Amino acid sequence: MKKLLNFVVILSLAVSFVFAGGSGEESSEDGVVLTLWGSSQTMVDFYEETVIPAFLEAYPQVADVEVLYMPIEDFVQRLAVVLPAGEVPDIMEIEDSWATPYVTAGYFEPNTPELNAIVDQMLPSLKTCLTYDGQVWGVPIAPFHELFFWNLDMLAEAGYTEIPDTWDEVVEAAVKMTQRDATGKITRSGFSMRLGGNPSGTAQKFWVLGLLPNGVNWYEESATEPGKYHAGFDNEGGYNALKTYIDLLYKYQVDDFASLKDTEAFANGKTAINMREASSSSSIIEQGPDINWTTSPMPKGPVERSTFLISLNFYVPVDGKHKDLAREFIKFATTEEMYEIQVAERAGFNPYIGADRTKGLDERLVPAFTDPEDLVYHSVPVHSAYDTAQIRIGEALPNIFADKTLLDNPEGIKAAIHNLAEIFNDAYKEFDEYAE
Amino acid sequence: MASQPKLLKMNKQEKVDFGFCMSILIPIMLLFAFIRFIPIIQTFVISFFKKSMIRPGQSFIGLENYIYVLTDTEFIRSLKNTFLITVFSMSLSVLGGLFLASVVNSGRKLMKLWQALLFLPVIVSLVPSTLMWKMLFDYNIGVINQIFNVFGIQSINWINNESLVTVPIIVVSVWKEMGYNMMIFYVGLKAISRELYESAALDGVNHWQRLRYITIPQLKPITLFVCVMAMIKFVKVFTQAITMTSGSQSSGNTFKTLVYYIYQQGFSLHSMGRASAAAMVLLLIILLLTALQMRLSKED
Repeated sequence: MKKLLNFVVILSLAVSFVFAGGSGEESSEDGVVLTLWGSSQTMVDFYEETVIPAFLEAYPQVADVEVLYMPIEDFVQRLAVVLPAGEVPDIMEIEDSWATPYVTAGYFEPNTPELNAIVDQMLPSLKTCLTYDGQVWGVPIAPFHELFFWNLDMLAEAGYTEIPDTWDEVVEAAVKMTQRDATGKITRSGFSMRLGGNPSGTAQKFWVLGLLPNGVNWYEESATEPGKYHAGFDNEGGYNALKTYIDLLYKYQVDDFASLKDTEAFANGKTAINMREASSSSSIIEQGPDINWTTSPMPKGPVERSTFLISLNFYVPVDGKHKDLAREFIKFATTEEMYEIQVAERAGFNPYIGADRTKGLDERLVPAFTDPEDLVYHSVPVHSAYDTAQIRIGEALPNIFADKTLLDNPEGIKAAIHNLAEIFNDAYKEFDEYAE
Repeated sequence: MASQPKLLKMNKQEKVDFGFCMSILIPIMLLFAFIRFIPIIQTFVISFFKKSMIRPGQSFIGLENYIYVLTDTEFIRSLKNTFLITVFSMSLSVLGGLFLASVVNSGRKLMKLWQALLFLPVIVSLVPSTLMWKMLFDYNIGVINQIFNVFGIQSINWINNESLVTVPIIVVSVWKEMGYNMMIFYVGLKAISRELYESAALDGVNHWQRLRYITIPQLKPITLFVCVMAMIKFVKVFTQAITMTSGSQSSGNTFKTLVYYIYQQGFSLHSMGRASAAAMVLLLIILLLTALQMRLSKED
């Protein structure tokens, strides 16, 4: 009897195991379940509250769209494991520079003509950072640009009635708004500088605040070998960029390494000016409801007024299970109407050509979305080495910023910039994308 | 005449027992070899190749990965950070564990309850416990800064500063490990013969002399075990560091440990060759430190 009982238990376990293994996620009764992985919490809210309910109504064959959120660092590192293993969701939402190594390695599907038609209606710089090998890969879902947040009370205290518009005026205002205690320690920074943290972010901020306003970029295409690159900042523009940082830290002393940084500092009234993307306004509203703030476009730099336009994009993995439905979801989520809702809900950037980007926006953000005529948008290139170069430069920059001896030391600054250029070139050499 | 092998000397029953033991042990040993030794050998082999996880193909480059890693300032920085955490966390968790074990072993009331409470951090998952400590050290809402504020001290930006973040990481590491060390020391204290203490009492030995001449020498093998285990754990510190610093807008460099460096080389920079070389260096460091500790213990 006991033996028989054991046999029945083992048999039933075996049967249930076999049948459990055979049941797929898309039985005809239940409908298809699409999976989406994202790295932006505000976007996840937008998908779950706005896009998905409407999509499910329009596509009854889809039972659900499951969204998995991961913080950006976890997400980026998980990509390296799941994409080669083929254990992928149907749609991945990734920032363009993070996705580049996987686009160039062939882990994503190129766009269909229908998806390309959507991208063609958006600002051209967004298409640039999705184009590789003559094809377009991915559709922008959450573009963002860099802008300035200003504490209006601090600005008024310093005697300003208008927002400074040029870089020199910004520095002057930052100096006036910096506060110190009796020992000289900064208690409120005039301008919150990105001096470390996530290396890519550190490099990105140096790019948009240092290099671009001084008329140079990270890379320059080789004159002799098109399609290959070398550092584009080992020159006067790069020198001026680093000098700007060193002067802010040690000459004008508007910030230091010990002060609270970024949005946290701004929302706590610990800095007067912060440079960030518009979506950080939700954190300011939440953490610092009493802060009286406004925004402005990036100031006019010594050579140009520039900002970047980077985007989180939707990609369809090659190993995805429901590619056609994934593309339908992408089309659905990236219509101009959806963008208008996104602008109102999470201070998103409407990338459609001719769109009113201020429609539905918090009025404090409107100045930063009203582009001055001379504003130039820059995007990241689709180079395999770019991401690696950014990380390595971002790791080297904090040590350079911490070097006080660079103040009034032109040779030291030139040497530091040259070292950064070497780091950049080495990364491009590793990926066989370097040429003089 | 050469002595016979032990197996030939066994009687029939011993041979049956031996066969039984082997039949159970061999599959486990094979499994262990498969999941432990083969990856180590593979890692060693990959460390001589230029290899990416996301692109097919690899090329032999000799010692280049080792040269890169050992001259990389980020690796040196990671090594320094790891060393700092290991020294402080190991010392504090071993001393704290010994102290707590002595208290628990004192036989006072409710000691079993204390023992269970002190052991709780060991069984709690590391990620949520690190997040809890991260909140306690938070600049805005952290209890620790609020206590400082009560005494007129300004809030400290613990999490976003490369130097200061070592403090919360060490605190969470010690908090997590101390209960485990306490249990091991407790077992060791229980194993010390009462007769030794009774004889010493008859000879008029004071509390300090009992500790110096009986307890510490008797606990030597346990202490060595606890130190080696703690050292191995802390040299591999990763979860606390990445969870504590994740998403922070730090000033200066991000806090990086050796395992974090390996992880970054492999999964962010896509260089499995360099990650493998760094992993082999870490393995060598652990082996050397363990051998050194055992050697010092023997000399002592």
